[in-house]
Formats: sequence, C-alpha cells, structure tokens
Amino acid sequence: MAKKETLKEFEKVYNATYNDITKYVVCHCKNITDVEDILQNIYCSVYNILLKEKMITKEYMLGIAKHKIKDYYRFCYNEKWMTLFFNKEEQEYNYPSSINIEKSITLKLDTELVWNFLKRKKVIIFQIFYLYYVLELTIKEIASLLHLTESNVKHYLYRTLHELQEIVKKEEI
Amino acid sequence: MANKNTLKQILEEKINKETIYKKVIKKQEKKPRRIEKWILIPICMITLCLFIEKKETKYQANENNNGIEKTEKEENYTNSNGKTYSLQEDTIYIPKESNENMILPFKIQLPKNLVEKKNLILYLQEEIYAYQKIYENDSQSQSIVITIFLDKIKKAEGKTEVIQNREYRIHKSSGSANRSIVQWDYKEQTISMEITNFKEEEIIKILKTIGEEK
Repeated sequence: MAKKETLKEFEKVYNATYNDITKYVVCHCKNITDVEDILQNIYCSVYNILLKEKMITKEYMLGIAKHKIKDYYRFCYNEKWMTLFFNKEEQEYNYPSSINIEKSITLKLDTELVWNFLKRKKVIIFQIFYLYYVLELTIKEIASLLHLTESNVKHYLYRTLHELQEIVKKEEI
Repeated sequence: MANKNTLKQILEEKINKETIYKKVIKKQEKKPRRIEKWILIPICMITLCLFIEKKETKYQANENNNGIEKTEKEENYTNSNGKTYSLQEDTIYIPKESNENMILPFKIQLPKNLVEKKNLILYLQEEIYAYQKIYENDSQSQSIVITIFLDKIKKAEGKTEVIQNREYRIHKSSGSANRSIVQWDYKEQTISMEITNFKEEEIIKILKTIGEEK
C-alpha cells in the first residue's frame, strides 16, 4: 500500500477507534502518565499492520491494546506514585453541599496544578475523572467498567473535587 | 501565567488526540529500515561459528590403543642369569652399572591427558606391574627404565637442550639409599628415567614429583 493511502486509512481508523481505545487504556493503565505512551505504541502497531495491507477490526484493535498494555508494564515498575491514605473499604462520605459537579466542569483551573494533583492520587481517581469528564460516561457506566459500586465512584469523585477545591483556594491566597 | 481550563479541557490537553497522532506519524517516518528475520538469523549463526574457539588438545591422540605405542617387533633381552625377556622395539638399553643392576627398559607414549597426573600414574602403574612380574623371580633385576614421550608440551616450551643427569634421591623405608637418574631430552622429546631398587609406591612418588615439575 502506498504511503499516502496508508496514511489516509490510518487516519480513518484512528478517528474511529480513538475514544474506545482510550477508554480501554485508561481503565487498564496503572499510571496516568503511561496512557499517552501506551496509546502511541498501540497506534504504531496499527500503522505497521496497515502497511502490510491487513484488515483491522475493533476486536483486533482491542486485542492489540491488551497486548501493548501487558508489554508496557512487563518491564516497567508498577506505580510511580504511592498514596499514603485512602482505603477501598470506606465509610459513607458526606457530600458537602458546596461541591457542584456542573460548576467544576465550567470552572477554569490551572492545568498543571490539576494534572500534578491527579498524578499524586491513585490511578483509579484519574480513571474516574477521565471517564466522567472527557468521555462523559454516567456514574453507573463508570462503576461497571471499573468494577466498583456507584457509591464508591461518587466517593472518589466528590472527595477528590473537594480536595481540589481546597488546593485551588490555597493557591489563590 | 497559569493556564486556566476546565477539567475536561485539562484532561484532553494532557492526553491529546492530535498530539498522539502526530507523534505516531513522526515515529513511522523516522523508523529505521528493518532487517528481516530470515537475513538476521543466518548472519548470527555465521558470526557465532567464526568466533567459537576450538579446544586445542595438548597432545595429539594416538590412533592406537589410548596412546600406547606398541610395536609388533620385539627384541629379546637376556639378563645375567640367562633368563630371556621379550622387549619392545627401539627400547633404550642401559648397560650394567657397577652395582650390576639389570635394567629392562620400555617405552610408552603418554596418553592424551598428561596433565591429569592420576591417569599417568595409573597408566604407568599397569606397565610397572607388568615388568615387576617379570622381575619377580629375578633378584638381580631390580630396576626399570621408563621412557616417556612428551609430545606437545615440550614443543610448546621450545627447548631443545638436553638436560642430563637430574637426580632424585628417595630413601627406602629399609634405610638403604636409592637413586634415580632422569634424563630430559627435549629434542627427542623423551624423559628417560632409571629407577633402581624401588617399590611401586616409590616409583609413583617419583613420577608425581616429575609431573609437578612440569
């Protein structure tokens, strides 16, 4: 296949599969900083496959994604950041009234501040944030994808937003 | 200045669709030419073969019989009592000395693994046994000469001089002194050793000493 044709085909496949593959990678990654690398590896493989004029289906893509994630973590250490607190089994969190999810969507925040904050947290928090804000999944869908209960997802979401709010206030001071 | 965005924008910015696309395309452009497996494997095998060192054997293996050169022709030797022994060809006959010790020489070629002294001694032991038997009833013949061919060892050393009359003195348990004369002939690559009046264990001791010197 000529290079230009391959490029066109690749672009087509990329646009069609990006969201699903990103969702898969985000759900299975062990660190938020690895997502971009893993996605690059996946799509490099896809490009090579297209060069060989082979067909790519969605299932095939997911298979590639699965192998690439495995390969990526085979030689890397597992977690770059460790949290010192936060148990899975947690008591019911009292959602403070000041938290407004919709507002947080529109609120302008410092990119680096937020990213660094998320990097320090457990990967599950990033996963929930990404699935909720970027891919716009519901709490129920997120819970089923990440094998959590809905209340757990809400816990993570609200508590992290609360913490983020605290940090932003401190920064503004 | 802080870059203010919504949470969605922040996450999209950090895992950016366009950035990843560009990086993938860039990687593909920079990709080095891939060497196919069917070329690589033979190249590796050939390289390996070239660099494998062959083990050098210190000695050339003698085709006959574990290194023992035995000729078919035999000479006869008659001792002072008139008893006749059959000798191997080209053996060194050392004439009687003043103490009238009769010597029955023989030659053997060292086995391949000379450096393993144990093997040498065991091998020689068999020969010693054989000749001891011959001397059993011969009270006068109390010495043997062992000539040992040293093949590559001496060649490697590059010496061509003849070192003569190296003496080893070993005292028997009975108290009488015994002597052995060792002749190192690098040219002929032989060691000739005359051992008088020794028992088997003492002969072995001498051989061990010589072995250590090497």
